[in-house]
Amino acid sequence: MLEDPLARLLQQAAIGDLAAFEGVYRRLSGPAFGIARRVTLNEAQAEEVCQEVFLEVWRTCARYDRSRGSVSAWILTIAHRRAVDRVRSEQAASTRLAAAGRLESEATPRDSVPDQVEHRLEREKVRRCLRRLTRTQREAVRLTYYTGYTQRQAADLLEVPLTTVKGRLRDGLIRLRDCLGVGV
Amino acid sequence: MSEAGVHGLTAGYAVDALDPEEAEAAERHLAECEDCRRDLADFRETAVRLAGAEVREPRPEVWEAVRGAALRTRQLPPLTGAPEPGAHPRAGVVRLPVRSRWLPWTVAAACALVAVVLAGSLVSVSQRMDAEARHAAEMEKLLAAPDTNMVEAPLGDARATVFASYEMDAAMLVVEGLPSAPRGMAYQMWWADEGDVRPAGRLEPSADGRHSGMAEDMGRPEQLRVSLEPAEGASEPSGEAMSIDM
Repeated sequence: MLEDPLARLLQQAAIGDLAAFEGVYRRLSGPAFGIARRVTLNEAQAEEVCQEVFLEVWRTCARYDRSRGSVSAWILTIAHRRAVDRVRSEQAASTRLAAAGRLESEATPRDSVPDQVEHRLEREKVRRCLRRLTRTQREAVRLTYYTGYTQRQAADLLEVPLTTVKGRLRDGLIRLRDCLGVGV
Repeated sequence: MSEAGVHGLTAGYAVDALDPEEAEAAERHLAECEDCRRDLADFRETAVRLAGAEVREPRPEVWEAVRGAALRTRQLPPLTGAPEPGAHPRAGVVRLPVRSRWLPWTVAAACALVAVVLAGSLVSVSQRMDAEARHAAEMEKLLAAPDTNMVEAPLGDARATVFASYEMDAAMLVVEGLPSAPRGMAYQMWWADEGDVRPAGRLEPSADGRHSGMAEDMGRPEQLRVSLEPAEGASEPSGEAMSIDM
């Protein structure tokens, strides 16, 4: 496995090094806030999620287990789960769905020029890979990952059996994985 | 559960799309299935890429809040067994290291007091956060010192709690039930020994109506006193002082 540059920073943070922790924050607060914002569709909630996530990271960074995946995956998994927990506890799921109608993000990130270039490339790549999914696979990914629905809720909404949604989501993620060159 | 059903759970688990019971089933299965763990890791890295396409920098205030909260939050030691899911942080609550010579109720009382004082400081505006965070860090250091002792005593009609450490040469005073200082006035602390009285810093009101302050350069005083003085500070107590025997 390639050396994870964030693992070292996290290790430092685990012994109370706040500067190292800030390094982790600087690298991952953008995607963590971004995904929380995408799921909650609410800036203020996304900021709260972002705070909760990094406080949890600070508290528990000694417990990060690199055999389970990268630091990015660990932290962004926490971010996604917390964002999803928030929207699930809300009643207004249907209004969110309408706003989340498009997969493409319209966000114009407020960051530096080199970062913008890098982010634009990454965004374009993801967009292209999403387009390569079948329509039904894309729907399954959108309703679960981006909207925060359970597979069961997605199945109800699409009026298809639960196993169909499970299959579409799994196939969709596999196709995305291969398209994005993850795990090779 | 069938093989296909379980595989469906891995993808759903990776994007948090399972009901709680399904998530438990997935976790049980993942513990036994190495291939599934590899799939899960790949799906999560894929999700990292999806999040990477949503990058948006949060406002600088978010880091300030995270930093302030981190300074008040104790880190957990490494875990040797399985991770504890759903452990939610409680911002601003400082856990005291438990020492055997302290009775459990004493530790609990100290935790409650400090948590309340810090919670008061949490409502402050962002410009004050650095000062508050420093204050919280000082308190935490004092509470963690090996020789810190706690004294509870009446202070006038109010109730005072003092945490004092000779090693740190400092004490923290938390007072409950002290009337608010009149406009232009403040409560000031004093160290008193052998007829000598030295200024020891100010007591600040917190949001919940308590007063607290760090008193430094403690030495070996006989008493900690509190008096009402002009807000800019006095070099010796002018009014009548209340006192706690140390």
